[in-house]
Amino acid sequence: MNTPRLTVIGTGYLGATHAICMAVLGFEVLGVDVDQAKIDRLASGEVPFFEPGLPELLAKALESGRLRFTTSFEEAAAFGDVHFICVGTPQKQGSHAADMTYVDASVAALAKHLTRKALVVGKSTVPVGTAARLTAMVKELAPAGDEIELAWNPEFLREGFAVEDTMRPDRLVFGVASAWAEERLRAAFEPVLAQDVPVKVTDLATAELVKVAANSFLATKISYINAMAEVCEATGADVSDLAEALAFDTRIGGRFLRPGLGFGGGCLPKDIRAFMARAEELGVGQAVGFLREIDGINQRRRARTVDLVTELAGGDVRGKKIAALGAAFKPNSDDIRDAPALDVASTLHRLGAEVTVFDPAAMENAKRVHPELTYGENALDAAAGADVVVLLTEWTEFREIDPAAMAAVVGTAAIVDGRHALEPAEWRAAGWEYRALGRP
Amino acid sequence: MTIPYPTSQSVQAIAPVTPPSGAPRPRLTFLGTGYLGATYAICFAELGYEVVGFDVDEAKIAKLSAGSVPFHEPGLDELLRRNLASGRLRFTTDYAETAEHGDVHFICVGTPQRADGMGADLSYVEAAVSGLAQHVTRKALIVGKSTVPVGTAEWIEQLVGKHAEPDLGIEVAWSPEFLQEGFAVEDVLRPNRIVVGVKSDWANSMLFAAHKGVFDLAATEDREVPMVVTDFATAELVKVAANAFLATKISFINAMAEVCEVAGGDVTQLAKAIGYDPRIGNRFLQAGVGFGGGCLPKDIRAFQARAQELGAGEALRFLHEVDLINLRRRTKVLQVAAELLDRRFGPAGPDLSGTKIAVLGATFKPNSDDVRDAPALAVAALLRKAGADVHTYDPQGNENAARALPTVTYEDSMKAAVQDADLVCVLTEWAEFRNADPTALGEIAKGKKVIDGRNCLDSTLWTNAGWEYRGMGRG
Ligand SMILES: NC(=O)c1ccc[n+]([C@@H]2O[C@H](COP(=O)([O-])OP(=O)(O)OC[C@H]3O[C@@H](n4cnc5c(N)ncnc54)[C@H](O)[C@@H]3O)[C@@H](O)[C@H]2O)c1
Ligand SMILES: NC(=O)c1ccc[n+]([C@@H]2O[C@H](COP(=O)([O-])OP(=O)(O)OC[C@H]3O[C@@H](n4cnc5c(N)ncnc54)[C@H](O)[C@@H]3O)[C@@H](O)[C@H]2O)c1
Repeated sequence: MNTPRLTVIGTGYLGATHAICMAVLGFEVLGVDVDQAKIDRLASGEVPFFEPGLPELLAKALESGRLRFTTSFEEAAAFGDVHFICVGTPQKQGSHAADMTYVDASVAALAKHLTRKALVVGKSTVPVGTAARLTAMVKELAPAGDEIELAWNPEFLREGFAVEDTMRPDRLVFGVASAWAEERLRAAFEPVLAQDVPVKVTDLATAELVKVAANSFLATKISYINAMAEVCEATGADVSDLAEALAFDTRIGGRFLRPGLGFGGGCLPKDIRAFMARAEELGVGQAVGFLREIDGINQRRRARTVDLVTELAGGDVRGKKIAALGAAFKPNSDDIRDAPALDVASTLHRLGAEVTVFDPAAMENAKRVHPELTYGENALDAAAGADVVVLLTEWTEFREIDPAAMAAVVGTAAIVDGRHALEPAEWRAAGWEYRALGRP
Repeated sequence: MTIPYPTSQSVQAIAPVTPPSGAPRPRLTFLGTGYLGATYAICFAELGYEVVGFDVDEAKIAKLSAGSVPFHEPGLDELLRRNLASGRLRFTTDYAETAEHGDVHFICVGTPQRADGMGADLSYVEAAVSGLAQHVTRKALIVGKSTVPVGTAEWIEQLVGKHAEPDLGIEVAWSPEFLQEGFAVEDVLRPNRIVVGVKSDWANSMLFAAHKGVFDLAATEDREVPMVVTDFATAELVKVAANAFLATKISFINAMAEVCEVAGGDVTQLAKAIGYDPRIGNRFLQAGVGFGGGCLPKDIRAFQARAQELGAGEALRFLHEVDLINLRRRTKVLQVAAELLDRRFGPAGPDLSGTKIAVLGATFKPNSDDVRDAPALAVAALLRKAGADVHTYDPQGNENAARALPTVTYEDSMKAAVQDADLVCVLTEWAEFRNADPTALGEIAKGKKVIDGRNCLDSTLWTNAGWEYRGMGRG
């Protein structure tokens, strides 16, 4: 069969990356969003968020003429053979469940215009059962009716490595209901598959579950080592030695075993909560009840970090100057959704501290959501005169800070390493009082 | 595989010491010659050390001295006989003889779950340490290897202080053990890391000397065994933390199986798809009837109990969920059995009377005869309690199982167990069961119904042979 023309509906982190990379790989791609401003920016060659390598690829894709953007679903339906749904599925206000209104709206808007055989592929992270529900909806709304099929292709890209992860993923998962759908997906990923990326072909429900299961596992692994940090704090043990010793066991592995301030972002927290909510609906809430504990451990790390800062500030942060290094939920990203760093910074501010934040990429986003905080020009500027410095996101440039240089600008040389990112011996040698979570 | 870790201590940095006995390499003793201690005693004699194995169980010591390993462990019998013959290995029930022999004494006694709660029973550790300390007449190092609650090493130090001459300068250290039954010899001779909790350079040097055979073996095979040197508390925690992680990983995938069962997914495909992620990995990601054995269940319970005492109970509440998920898998088999046999599953469970069920497997894992807290045996007990006529077969575990659960019938072969059965349950993934011929078994069974409690059978093969096949978490 011929090479399919692709549409990507929802051009946020996931969708924009997917659209751009697929165009670079040689597909004709149409990006669709309801946000006119975002579409205009993308069409003019500007990536509306921080992602290393992506702006260059956008320029290349636009230049090739293979990538265009639109807000018209009619145009999208006419253009595409395979339509990727990449809209957001945030946590519903006042509940743990996923908000499916964007998925439903975008699929409905597209379906109304589908007049010939096409494949609609969900990429967003959704509760299990969504694909089955959307299949019925699409068949009812689309003029082409039963000719339209639905598939699920969960996405595993990591912000900060989005290009690499899209071009060379660990694996692809295709949830399909027919051989035709599998063939279309294989065609839509032909250049990726050509690099021997493993594909797992399965049913729709399993494909949907793969994504939430993977995120639940990663959240569990992070909270596991952070729970060990809590126990270390109660016993005087050192969680970083502990993690090192554990990592030698290949059944455990060192990845995601770094203790610290815990996870955040637009995925892990909302995904595990939505999973709990969905399992509850299915009557097996008890199966994933452990995720509530995982969430709880994660939240407590933020409180513990605030406590450590308070301790170093002499028991009370009121009127104290605190330098907060980091705002993004992880390095190499400007994403501040549910960012532990900003949570800690704003809590310290609420407790009466004068907090100055610096982040290499997320300043603009942070200022929008937390205008009450002060922002520095760079790490040293933020640290000027500080009573306590707290490292909250493990950017490389923070790891490489010269402790002596920073000691020269602060009021008191006291630092809380919320990410186990610094070498304690080095900082102590430079006269710093160094504290980290889970270490004596 | 070893992972070079920049901060772990390089082995060269450790100063050589002369063992207090004056021998060129430290003389070793192992107190408690169960799975752990016997394997160690035998393997370290094989590495060239002079070794004494001590136990209070006369029968066990007599057996070992006569060249017979009292449990099933591949490769161990031959090593035992060879090293007894070499004169480097002997066994005793005499504390004085043990104290006289050893420069480094390893404590390998059991630390079971306490009968009256979730905590670990440390009475055997206490008995072994005080029994030994009273007889020690020169400087020595006492090294705990048993799995214990954090804080135990400090307590042992005090115990030694109470029972031994203070001027002898006896020291204590901790070195947690990670061997897996079924691979014990390999794990002892070729560990993936050695963790030691020490308070002095002398203890560190003695432990290095006591493991030099392991490092030398690695060097001849062009491997490296990393050594992590840390404090007492961290060393103690490594072991329970590792077990807590493994239990969590197993229960995680079993929780996914529970969701798959209601959502119509297939957990085996799910596991495969997420296992490609190197941050997750496919090891310990097989859904089934869950974990058991003498370690994982008791260790995670003791860990919770200890954290509670320390005021950090909240941190480990997830382990309670891990435990519950694990135990629910056992009831799930009962539930599927009732479904397959068309029996109602009421609040008091199903009535399976009048049915004959073959249970294949009794040990908690293959290549072992260990039936401690074995899921297979627990399920057999549940089926029996529900009224079924249960016929169990295990390649190595029949004898131990018959002692632990006398109410079911034990058969000498898989065939004998399956003969005329209405339902077959595969509950331990022995190769003999994985490779069984479903056609041949179909001819002797009465009902061609099978529950694959370990997702270890080829479902297509069994279905094609006419069996009604049910796995765990597979739609
Ligand atoms: N960001 C990641 O790293 C990542 C990784 C894997 C999976 N996911 C999943 O992918 C999905 C998208 O995540 P994201 O981070 O890209 O979100 P995002 O908020 O950055 O982007 C969502 C986009 O969808 C657009 N949109 C909303 N309603 C629409 C409609 N009716 N029609 C067309 N477009 C519409 C929004 O304008 C926005 O541009 C989520 O389900 C998320 O869980 C994200
Ligand atoms: N079996 C494993 O795979 C394994 C792996 C790692 C750690 N561990 C830990 O090692 C310890 C021992 O486990 P095991 O499986 O070998 O137990 P086990 O029950 O097989 O052996 C314990 C032995 O200690 C002996 N003993 C009891 N009191 C004694 C005393 N006062 N002096 C000397 N001997 C005494 C018993 O007679 C028995 O032979 C436990 O703490 C366990 O958690 C076991």
